[in-house]
Amino acid sequence: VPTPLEPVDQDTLRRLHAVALRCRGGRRPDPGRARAHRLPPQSAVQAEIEDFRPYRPGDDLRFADWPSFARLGQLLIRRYREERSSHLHILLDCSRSMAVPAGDRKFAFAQNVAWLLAYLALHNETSVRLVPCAGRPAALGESPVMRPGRMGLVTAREFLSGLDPGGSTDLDLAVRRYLGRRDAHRGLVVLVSDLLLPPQRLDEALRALVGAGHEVAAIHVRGARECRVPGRAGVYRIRDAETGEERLAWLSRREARGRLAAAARLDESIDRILGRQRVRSVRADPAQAPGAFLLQALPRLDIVR
Amino acid sequence: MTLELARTDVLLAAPALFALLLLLHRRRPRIEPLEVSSLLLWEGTGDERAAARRARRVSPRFWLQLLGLLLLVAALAGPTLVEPPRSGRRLLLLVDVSASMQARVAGSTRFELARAEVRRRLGALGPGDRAMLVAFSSRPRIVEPWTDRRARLDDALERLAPDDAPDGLRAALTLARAILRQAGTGSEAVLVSDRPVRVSGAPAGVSLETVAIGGGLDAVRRVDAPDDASAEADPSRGAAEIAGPGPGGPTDPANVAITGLDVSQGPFTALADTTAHATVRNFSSSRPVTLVARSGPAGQEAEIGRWTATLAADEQRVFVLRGIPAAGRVEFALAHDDEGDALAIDDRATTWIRPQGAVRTLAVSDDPALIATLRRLTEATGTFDLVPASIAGRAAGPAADHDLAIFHRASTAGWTKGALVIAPVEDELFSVGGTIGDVRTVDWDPSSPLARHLQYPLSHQGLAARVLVPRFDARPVVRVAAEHGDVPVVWAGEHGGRRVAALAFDIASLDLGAEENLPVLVLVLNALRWLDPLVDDLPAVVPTGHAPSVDETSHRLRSAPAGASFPFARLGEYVFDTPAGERRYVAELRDARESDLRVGASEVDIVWPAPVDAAAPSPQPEGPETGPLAPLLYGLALTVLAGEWWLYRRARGEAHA
Repeated sequence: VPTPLEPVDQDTLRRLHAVALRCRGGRRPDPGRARAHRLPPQSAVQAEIEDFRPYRPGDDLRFADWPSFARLGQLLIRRYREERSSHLHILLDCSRSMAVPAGDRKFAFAQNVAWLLAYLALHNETSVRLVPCAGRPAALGESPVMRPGRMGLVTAREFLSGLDPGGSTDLDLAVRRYLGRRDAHRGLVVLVSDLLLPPQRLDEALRALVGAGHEVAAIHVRGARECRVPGRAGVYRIRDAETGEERLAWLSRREARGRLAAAARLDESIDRILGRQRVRSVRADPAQAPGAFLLQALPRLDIVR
Repeated sequence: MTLELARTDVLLAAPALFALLLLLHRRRPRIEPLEVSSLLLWEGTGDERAAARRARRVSPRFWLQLLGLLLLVAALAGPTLVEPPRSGRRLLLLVDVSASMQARVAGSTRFELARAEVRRRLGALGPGDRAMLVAFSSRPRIVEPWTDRRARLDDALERLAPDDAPDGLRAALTLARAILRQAGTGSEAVLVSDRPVRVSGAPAGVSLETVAIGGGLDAVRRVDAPDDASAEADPSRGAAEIAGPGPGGPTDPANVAITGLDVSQGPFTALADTTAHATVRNFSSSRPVTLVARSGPAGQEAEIGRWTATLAADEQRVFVLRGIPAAGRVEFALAHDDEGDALAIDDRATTWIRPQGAVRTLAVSDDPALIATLRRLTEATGTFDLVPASIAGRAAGPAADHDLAIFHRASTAGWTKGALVIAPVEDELFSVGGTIGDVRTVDWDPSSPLARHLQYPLSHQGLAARVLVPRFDARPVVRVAAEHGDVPVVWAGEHGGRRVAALAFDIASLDLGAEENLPVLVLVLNALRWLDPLVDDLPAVVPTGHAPSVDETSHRLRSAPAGASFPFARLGEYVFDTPAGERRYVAELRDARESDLRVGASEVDIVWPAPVDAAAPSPQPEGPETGPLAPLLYGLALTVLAGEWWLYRRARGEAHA
């Protein structure tokens, strides 16, 4: 069942509005200059008409609005909103592991963090691309672009709300597929994931992203219950939520320390890979409030000014 | 020690329970599923084959459940540990702790001598021998059940003290017989008493030795004295006597006692005509006696009589006290030094003189003839001050000034004290029906206080009465057989904590002075006396060792002399709280047999009573080492199942956490 996004409280919004996202080509919004004359975009397909003005001698007739000339008898020149060159790519892990254990609510947390990141980027006049990794089949291959403006916010919210965790984390495939797109502009890539995938595949995916010229940051979601042993001692058939692989084990409270050690070893291995690829990362506890977490995490990820 | 089962068929349930429990445990999943986000976090969880082996093991909770159920089954089977007969001796010690055992003898008391004798007997017990200690005064009690622990017996003996009550030898022997019957053959009993007694009819296989504690202890003489043919057949039976020379000898303890105290005070006798009779008896050789009578509350007595006389040996004399100055407590005491009298507790006697003339009686009636009759009647009694009032006038008059009231054809509404209702009207006390005619016979309840001295046949003529249905707790006292059946015409009962008596017939027209109406006069006087609030306030004097008619469910003993028990084992005042208020009893020794301390004076032959006396305490089991094991097994089963439940709760709690 898709998780509805949590409402953002006014205080968090106010604090987010004060944050200036630092990504390639990004800048702070300047309402005073928002409607200033801007050069038309190189690609009209991607451009958005912002205003009209009467024709003046010397204007490029390619931007004359002929339909209005036909209706009004007055030649008007189209004015375009400036095409942003800054891009934020949010790679959201939608694999089955993000939903297990259910009590951790990892996926809901990741959804909300992605939504707040998208909000922050759009507020900073930065276009956002949401790239779900794994998840329900319909989400595979979908990676909508949200441009600054109300519609961008609505699109981002609807897209995130419709995501549903399932399948295994195929970060490598998702990255390769995404980088193969023509419109995958270089920019800031934020990976929101539990990073529970074989280390070499994580390494390959990050290497591909960095190699394509992206600046990469990672939000590593780790739930408190993920390595907690059951309260009742006994024999358990442990099943991997993504791969379906099973293992028999006797679990008791004495095992708790061993699980913590195993988690620490895995985290150490992940941190080593992230460091090697110069990927800044921050570990997230899904029990935290997403807004508060993000406000603390952004400086550590070094993506704000 | 062997184990016996009361029900072996219950054991058949054990295999079935085991199978059922095993089935239930097999049905439970042994391997529980656990979905995790990634096996990367669950590396190094141990050997899978070892885990599979553990999954096949049976849970510890199963063994606890099985153990608990097996214990329950075992308890249901009713196991009992039966101890085989011991090889050691069994010695039952019956110790007399009656009042006469307090008699001083040669610087000691009879009880101390008896205690020394018992101590000597206990010292002669060998390893494995067991003894039981039973003390008896008016009633027997087991002081220490069968035991081979010498220290416990010694402690129990040290705690023992003589009562102020007479002995109840027959009840003690009855209890002893029941105890010895359980103990089996070969048991011995020793009766230590100051009453020389020959007991015949001992149970087969039981030897009884009687030890008589008497005058001087200069010599301890053991006398083998089989008293009949059966005793001759049992050479172990005998008697020992710890005494000096025979009865009346120079070492006989001297004792003069007040053996009786009666007050001659009729229901309505004036104080000036009241007399008290004290009976004094000399149980030793001729000696002068001084008797003093004192009156007044304890601690403030004033001497009101003194008599001096010389009483011959065994002489009994009655001293009469006249001219008692005031109602209340009157005490008689023998004035002599302690050395001249061996037993002090029979030297005092107390009684109470009922107060008179203070009962203010309200008579509510509109009939002047009845008022005149009641006035003559109450004046004759000297007890009641009659205050007449009309029915209309009574409503306005204060009720608090009067102690009781007589209502004639008047409602008792609002009255909160004792009342005699004559020819009642419909009110909160009675529902009044039709009139009775054609009275054939009259009958009454002789146990009712209203029917005391009612010996004459009641006249039929004046008993034209109405049918009364009481609305409170009342008992019929007099009934008449009329044409409609048996109808009560006199009622007595309690309503709201006050006494109410009712006559269904009207006595206004009767001449109570006439001979044929004498029974009605007696009824009215009895009713007035029964309603007299002063009568019940006086303490009742009862002999020690007797139990007055105390309802143990509603009477609560508030205070009693130290160490006293019920029935009254000590001299002194016992106060009970009852639903009707405080009730006091004064216990005194009034037993000539206990006061007669002469050796052999009260020598008796007694046949050992066979049936178990219902009043005697039943003998106790011998000890905790024998007896049913079921309670223990039930306890163990509950403990085990509680432990299993605790494990289950803990596992469940952890799982929830």
